[in-house]
Amino acid sequence: MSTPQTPGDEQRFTALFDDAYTDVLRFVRRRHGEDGAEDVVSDTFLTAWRRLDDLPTDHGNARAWLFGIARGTLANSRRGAHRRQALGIRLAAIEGSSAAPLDDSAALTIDLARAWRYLSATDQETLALAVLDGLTSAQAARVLSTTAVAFRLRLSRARRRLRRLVDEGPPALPRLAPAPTTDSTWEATS
Amino acid sequence: MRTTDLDDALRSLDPATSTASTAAERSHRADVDLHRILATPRPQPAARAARSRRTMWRGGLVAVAVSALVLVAGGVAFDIWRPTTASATWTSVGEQVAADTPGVQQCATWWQTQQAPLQPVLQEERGDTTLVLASDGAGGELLCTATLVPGQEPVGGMTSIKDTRDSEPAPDGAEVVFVDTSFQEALVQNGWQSHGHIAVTGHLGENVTDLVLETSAGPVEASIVDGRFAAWWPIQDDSDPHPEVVATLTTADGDSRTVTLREAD
Repeated sequence: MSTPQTPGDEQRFTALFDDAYTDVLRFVRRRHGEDGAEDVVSDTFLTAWRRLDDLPTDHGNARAWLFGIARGTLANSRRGAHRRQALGIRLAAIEGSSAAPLDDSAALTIDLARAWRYLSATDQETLALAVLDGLTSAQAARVLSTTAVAFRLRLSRARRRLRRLVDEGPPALPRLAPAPTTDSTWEATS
Repeated sequence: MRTTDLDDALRSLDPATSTASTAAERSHRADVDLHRILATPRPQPAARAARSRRTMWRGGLVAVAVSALVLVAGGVAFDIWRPTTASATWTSVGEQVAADTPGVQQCATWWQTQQAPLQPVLQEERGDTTLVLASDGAGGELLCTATLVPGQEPVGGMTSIKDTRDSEPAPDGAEVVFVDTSFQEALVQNGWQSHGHIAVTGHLGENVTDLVLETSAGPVEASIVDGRFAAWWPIQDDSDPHPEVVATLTTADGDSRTVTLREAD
């Protein structure tokens, strides 16, 4: 059963679309890459249109609401029922291989890019929401369907782990950020 | 290293800004999508409201049907559950606490009715509630939760279970000792109130550094101490007393994988 949308709904949605399209596209590209990103964004806005009555009035919360829909759309496309799985983030490749000495900033960037691959998908997603997507703790918590307090705790831990990896270097054996696999563990109990 | 330096370096590696101009790409494809979406019928508001009411009614039915359920899994169980506000302050990430904190001491006090002393293995706080995983000194394990709110009587519960494992988990694996649901309802002035939680404990392989559980309350980080893990989260109903829990394991080398944890029959 459906109802004709009103001009007011169309205007509200069009304003949202115009304002947030680029942000949602960036959000998806950070987690999905280039191929098919616009398809995910299209599905995200279609879901948002169907759920327009749930659109928060606050601009920041509306953006976080869209990101949450985009995250669910991405997760659905990847793993079916495992909708709450953290989404790993791949950083941009570092260009250039100059033999010239690196300044501190460039060295940090290289160390960070290396360390990032050793973070869990959960830590990557937490840091990305706060730093790359620019969300407040409350907004990021909305995306992850958790609380702001829990997100701040998680962010603090993710920063600590990343800083340790940058300072101390990654484990001995280099490994690319893995794609999670699925298996089962069963344990007897009385 | 300052946090701002780290954040700036991270932003310089943002893959989204290294792609072609998103503002320019907004033009054609986005316009086509916008027109297609606006032409798509939206669900009628009345239908949405009806779905919401069914959900609420089902929740109330479950609460009445289960009544005051108390965990009994194996050896000993104390019926000391009462309505609490634990869910209101719950956090998805636990904070490990010392053995002399009030919540741990409360569990020890409750356990004093038994002959063997409580031997804590892991203790963590989520909001007002302290969870203690302990040995009972007689081959069994205890899981205690104590919710302490200033000005109110301590509220909590304790469950005993025999760990019958005959092998250690694989270095990158997890084995569950306990996945159980506690659910309680009470008739108060404004009607039925219900609350409950699911608690999980078990063993982790030596290489496992993180365990994140996928739950109805969102991702929940398990607390880990010396190869033992524990977590709990609030639930709205108890449709499955021993549910399967999907979790993501992360090992020291950065690898991660999804496992399904379930208490065996």
